[in-house]
Amino acid sequence: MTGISVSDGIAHGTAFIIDEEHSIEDRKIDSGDLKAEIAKFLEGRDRAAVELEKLILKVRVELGDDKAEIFEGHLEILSSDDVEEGVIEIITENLICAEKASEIFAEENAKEMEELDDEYFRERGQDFRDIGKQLVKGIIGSDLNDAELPEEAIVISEELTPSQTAALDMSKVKGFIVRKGGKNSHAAIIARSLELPAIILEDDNSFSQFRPGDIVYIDGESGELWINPRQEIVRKIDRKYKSRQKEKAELMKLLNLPTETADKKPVGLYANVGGLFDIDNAKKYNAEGIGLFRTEFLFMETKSCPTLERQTHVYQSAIESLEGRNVIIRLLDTGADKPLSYMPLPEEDNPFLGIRGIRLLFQKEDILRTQIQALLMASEAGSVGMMIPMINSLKPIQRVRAIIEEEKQALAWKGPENLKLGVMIETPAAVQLIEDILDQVDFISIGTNDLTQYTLAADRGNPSMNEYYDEFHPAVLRSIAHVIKQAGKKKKLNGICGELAGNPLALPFFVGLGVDELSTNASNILRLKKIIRKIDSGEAKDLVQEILRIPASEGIRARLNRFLNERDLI
Amino acid sequence: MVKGTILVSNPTGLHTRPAKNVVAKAKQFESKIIIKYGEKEADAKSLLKIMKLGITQNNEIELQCDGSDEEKALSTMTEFILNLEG
Repeated sequence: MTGISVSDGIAHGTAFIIDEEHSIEDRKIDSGDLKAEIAKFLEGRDRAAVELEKLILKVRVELGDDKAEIFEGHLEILSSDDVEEGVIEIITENLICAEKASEIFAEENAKEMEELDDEYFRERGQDFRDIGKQLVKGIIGSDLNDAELPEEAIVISEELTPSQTAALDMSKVKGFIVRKGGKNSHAAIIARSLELPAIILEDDNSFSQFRPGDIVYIDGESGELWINPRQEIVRKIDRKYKSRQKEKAELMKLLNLPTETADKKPVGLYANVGGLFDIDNAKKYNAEGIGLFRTEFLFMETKSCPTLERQTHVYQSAIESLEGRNVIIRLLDTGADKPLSYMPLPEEDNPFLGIRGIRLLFQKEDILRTQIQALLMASEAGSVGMMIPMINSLKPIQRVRAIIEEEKQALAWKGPENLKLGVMIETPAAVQLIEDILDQVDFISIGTNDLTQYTLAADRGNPSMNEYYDEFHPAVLRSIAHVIKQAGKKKKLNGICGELAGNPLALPFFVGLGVDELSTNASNILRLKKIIRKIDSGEAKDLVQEILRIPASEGIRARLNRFLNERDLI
Repeated sequence: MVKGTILVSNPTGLHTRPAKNVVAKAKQFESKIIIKYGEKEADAKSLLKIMKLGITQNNEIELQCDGSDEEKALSTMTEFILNLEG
């Protein structure tokens, strides 16, 4: 079987199936059984309370008091009279089973919370659903705490909620298979930060084939997975696994060596992160900065906009953990193709050419202002870059700058001037205007994915565009070269984020351009460092001159391949 | 019954943590204690009900205490809410 890989790695283990959605049935009861059903609820509630107490202890040790307090609040509510009376009332009036009644109660209360004005309280709606799930688990009795997690487990689940992940003993988990989610789902992000393979298997038929106790092999590179595979397949996967482990161990030797070319020219290798969970990984691989902090996940975690306090806390923690290295945080970058549940957007024929990035933030100015306030407050902890997405003229930059000034005045700002302003270069218009843009900002970063799709007018999500969407297209590489050269002339921090930044084939080209930083997944950093340390910057510079004269991507790829091959780097 | 008006002034209002402490305090009294906020009201001994009021900083609330220790309850709870932290 093959699914979509969302986190790299090869692993095998015993199938551990978390199956809770299916177990809630809308079961009617006889009025004669009412007493028994209520007793069943009360026992289940008590079991859930005991489990929560265990979870609180575990979370306090592993994640600290802060996180434990969330679950302490859950416990207070779960064991309150309100829940007891509320659920019993639903059981009695509707003559339905205890688990269904608990679910209904939780959902009703969640909805009420989500109608409140304050965003913090709206977020708490999700907590009520989580409490409901804990109650149901307690009542049905079968759940992931009862079933023993195997020593080496492949966790299989519809999707993974934060409380499910918190309850798992991660030292035993070797990989994840989920049915719902994408690259930015909770499961995918946790898997990447723990460097465990994760695969999304959307197909119902394949998904239902797993049985508890099956031996499952997963390859997070190719997205392949096998249930109880034959010996020869096992041997093949094991060989691949061993060779990957060996490569990894080799690469770890580079950890404390500087990232510089053979002739000692420094190149910054930065990490792309999606939240605080990623930062440990960035530090583990000695990232020299955060080149792109995507704030979308922060906005997706909750059922309403994250509060000022929450955002300030997250940004500040990121700045503090990086201990003075550059941190670039991108303003919320979303659009009609990936709307947030609490911010419905009108459908558009061409969402990628529509209201997205900064255009959307100007429409929802309160969100923009909150994010700017949070970044300002976090900047007390150190220097931080604020990056504007989707720029195609100077006006939005000026408007954002004006809003920053207004917010400073409103806060009677007396803190340090640590907030730097930069932009994503991802439209052909921004490339054309680069010199003027550079005069107005402190830094720029090229988003190669969008720059490619906008330059080539080829939708990157459309599979039939594969032939047309080509990051090595001469028009794309010449745009990048122009931007980096101009930024270098004006001595503005310049970087590249987006998939091309992590592609070894493009590396000699970027090194030759003299780019300040390349920002990529942290787990890529050492692989890139190994290559950079063997490239001579003078030779790479000459290579750039050649590349910029080649009119077709086939020729460009061939030339880059030859450069790396001649030096035994690929 | 006795009652009084309070301006909630701690930065986060009656969020989970402060509200949890209010509940614990209220449970020390025999009196029935009601928090009124606008049209809505809630039993101060119930975290769930307090949270559903959605009280934030600078909201004005009314405290009503009714029972044998109502005077003591009102003064203690008023003091307690005025001095909430976090």
